[in-house]
Amino acid sequence: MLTVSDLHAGYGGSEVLHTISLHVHEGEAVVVLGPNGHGKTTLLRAISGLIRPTSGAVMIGDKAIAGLPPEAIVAAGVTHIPQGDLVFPEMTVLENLLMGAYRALAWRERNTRIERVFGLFPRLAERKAQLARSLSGGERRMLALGRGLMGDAKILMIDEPSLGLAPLVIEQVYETIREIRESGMAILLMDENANHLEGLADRVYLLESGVLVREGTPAELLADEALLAAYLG
Amino acid sequence: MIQEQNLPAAEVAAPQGAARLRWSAGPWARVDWLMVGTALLVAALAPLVLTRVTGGGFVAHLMITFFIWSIITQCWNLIMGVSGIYSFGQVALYAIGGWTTALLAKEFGWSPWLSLWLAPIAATLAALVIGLPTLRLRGVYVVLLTLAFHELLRNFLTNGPQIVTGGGTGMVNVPKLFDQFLGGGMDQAMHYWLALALFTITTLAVWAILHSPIGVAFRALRDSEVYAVSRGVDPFRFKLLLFAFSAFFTGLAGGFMVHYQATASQSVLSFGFVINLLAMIVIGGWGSFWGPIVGTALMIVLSELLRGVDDYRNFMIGLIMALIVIFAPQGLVPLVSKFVGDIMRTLREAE
Amino acid sequence: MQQLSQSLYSGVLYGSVYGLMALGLTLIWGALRMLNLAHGALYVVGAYAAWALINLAGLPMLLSFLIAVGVAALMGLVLQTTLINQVIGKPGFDNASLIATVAAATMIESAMLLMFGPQVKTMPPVFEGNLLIPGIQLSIRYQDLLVIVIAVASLFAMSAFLRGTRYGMAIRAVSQNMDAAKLMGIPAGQVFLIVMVISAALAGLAGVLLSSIFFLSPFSGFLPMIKALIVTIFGGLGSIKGTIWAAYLIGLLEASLQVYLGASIALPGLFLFMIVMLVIRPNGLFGLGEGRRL
Repeated sequence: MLTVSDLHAGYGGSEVLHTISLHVHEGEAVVVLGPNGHGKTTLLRAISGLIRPTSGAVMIGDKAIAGLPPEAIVAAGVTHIPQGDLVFPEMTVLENLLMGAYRALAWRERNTRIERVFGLFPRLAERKAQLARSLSGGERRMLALGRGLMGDAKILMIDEPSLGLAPLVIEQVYETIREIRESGMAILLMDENANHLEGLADRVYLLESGVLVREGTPAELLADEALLAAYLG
Repeated sequence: MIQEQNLPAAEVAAPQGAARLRWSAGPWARVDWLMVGTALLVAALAPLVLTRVTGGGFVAHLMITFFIWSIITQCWNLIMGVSGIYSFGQVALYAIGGWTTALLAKEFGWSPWLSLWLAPIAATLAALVIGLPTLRLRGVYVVLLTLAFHELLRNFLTNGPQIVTGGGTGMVNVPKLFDQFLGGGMDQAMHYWLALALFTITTLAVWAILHSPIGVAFRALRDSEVYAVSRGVDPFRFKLLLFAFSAFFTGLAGGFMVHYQATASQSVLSFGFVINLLAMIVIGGWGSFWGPIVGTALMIVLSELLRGVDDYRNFMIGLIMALIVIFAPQGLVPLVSKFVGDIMRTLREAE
Repeated sequence: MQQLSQSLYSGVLYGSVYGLMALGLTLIWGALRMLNLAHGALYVVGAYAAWALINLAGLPMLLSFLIAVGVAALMGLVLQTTLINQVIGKPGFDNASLIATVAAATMIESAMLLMFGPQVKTMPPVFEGNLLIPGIQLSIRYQDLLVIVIAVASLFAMSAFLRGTRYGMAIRAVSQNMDAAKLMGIPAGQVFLIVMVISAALAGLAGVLLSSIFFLSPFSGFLPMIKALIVTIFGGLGSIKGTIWAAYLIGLLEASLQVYLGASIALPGLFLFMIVMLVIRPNGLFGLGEGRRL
């Protein structure tokens, strides 16, 4: 459903991503593994439109989206959940979620969607009138995920969901992602370590120095001893 | 960007056994002294010609204006364009310089030659007073505080004590520096030479600062304050130093102008003048060395051409500034020199 | 007692109008990270538009006010599309936006000077006469009351808009985290434009209101802009709540200084207060300064 062909992207004069080609089928969960600083975030930003690719193509279904502004790409069904703390700090949990449903179609259904998100994240329901900046790290991550679910996403692109979180919270986050995946949503996940591939990923890519070097199922990759050493943190 | 002078190793391990810097290692080695000297000579001889020509006196007056205003614009450019300090207090410091010496000379009977020296001192002190609270703060706050200072001064000079405000029209009959000097025929020429001297000193000082390690530090501060700080540059002290330096020459210029025109008028604090000066820097070349000088000359010429349509002139100045900011944000000097450079390169490649 | 009630009343009057202007500035700062030095010029555009509609076109007062605000908003639109959009996103935006807005202000004010001349003008009040409050010996002009009502109502309306509507929330979102906002499908460029238009309308409204009780001249927007800047910074750049509180505080301060110490002390006193405030609490009244958003 999401097809990236021969993508090049970078910042200023320097190119970070070279000849990236990958695809995600409907209902599939694909994980891109790679060390930090090798281009995982750049890849998602190039797909979601925060930066313009220098060349290459990105298709959602049969719609070409490379080079379009972010709002058009969101409209096409691509939801990018960025890494780190990108909630709206001075807005309440509820307001943050509502912003996830900004687009007209989603806005009309916002109340049902909010209920659904609160169902997935009961902690958020408890804190719905709280300002986002007073939430804990894990809660903010949940909020970002929930906010991503408020829109009309056909594919959810999640960047490093475990960054900066305590181990127990990390488990919860991945559990939630598995639940989302089970509901049939296509997922493209960027991650630094391979600890949570089981039960989550249908396919895995390896991104090193801006190039995709391997592709395979989790079983294939986990069988590779050298890889295990490098990526199991 | 400047090129750092790297001393060849041989120079440092000096033959006489003591490590000495060679004369040619200093920034002065990069000045084309022949050109500078020639230009100075021509400029110095100019009034001798101009005073004998009809209308020459007016041209000399314009040149004096150019010398003095380009002191202000160079100093303002040094803190705004080069170091990124968004101060709108430059003209206020100019006015403080002027009023200080006017007051001392007219009301307290000082000789203008003595009181003139208090002008830069007063301006520098004022700069320190403004700078201490202001320069620690971010850009936006500096704009506001310096605008407020300008407004406060204008208020004071318009509504304050009588000896200062002259009833709202300023101070008149301020003693001149050259009054009937050598019979009076040479008065303007003497003023001209003094202005030329001030301009030359200031320009050389600004040039020296720009090409010294201090200049590098300031550009580093402007481009990335965080990085500069991590390399040990203390932004606040540098900014204060620069602010004071810039105020010194500006105050001196203000003092000269007041004695040249024999008046200290509140119109100098009008926003028209501030915008005029700003335009000179923007149009000439924000942050460059030649920019303010060229910009000042251009604007003076333009103002003369547009004389008589004063109100349209301000509109035009605003329009030109806007156009420059959109299409040539670096200003005309960098644009033209790049253009010329491209042509030279094309010509060279064609051979 | 008379002085106290006079200060309170004037303070509320000034505060309401400064609030309008300061809100505009804070919105622009929040969304575009830009200091709009053309704000005073937009104030003047609103004021002259109203004056021209009343005196030259003979339109009824309140209708003229409304149209004048529209004219100011239109001017903001023009400013954004022709000037600001050309420098957004490019390096050196801080410099460029400063100079661009100063240039725009110069052009606009010169144009007003050319069109209307330098003489100070006044607008006839909508309602003549005074209201006398016997107990505290206060005399309030009906026009002042009208100004207060319109200003306060507008402030409430803006607040409600920003807090309760989808677009208002989107504006706040953009100023709190632009990347995240873009990823929700919020069109940032459009938001910038709307914010500028709203801000211009607020400035124009302030111009219309204040000029109807004082006077107008081509440069009469400068001082209100400075005061609005003071309010914005005092309330914390980018914070709506802080700005509105600060507006009334500054208004009351200025009014008190005027009443108790005389008009000529008021302005220097205000500036002095601001300097002190910036030195001891650079993040504004609620500490909601730079780090906080709408």
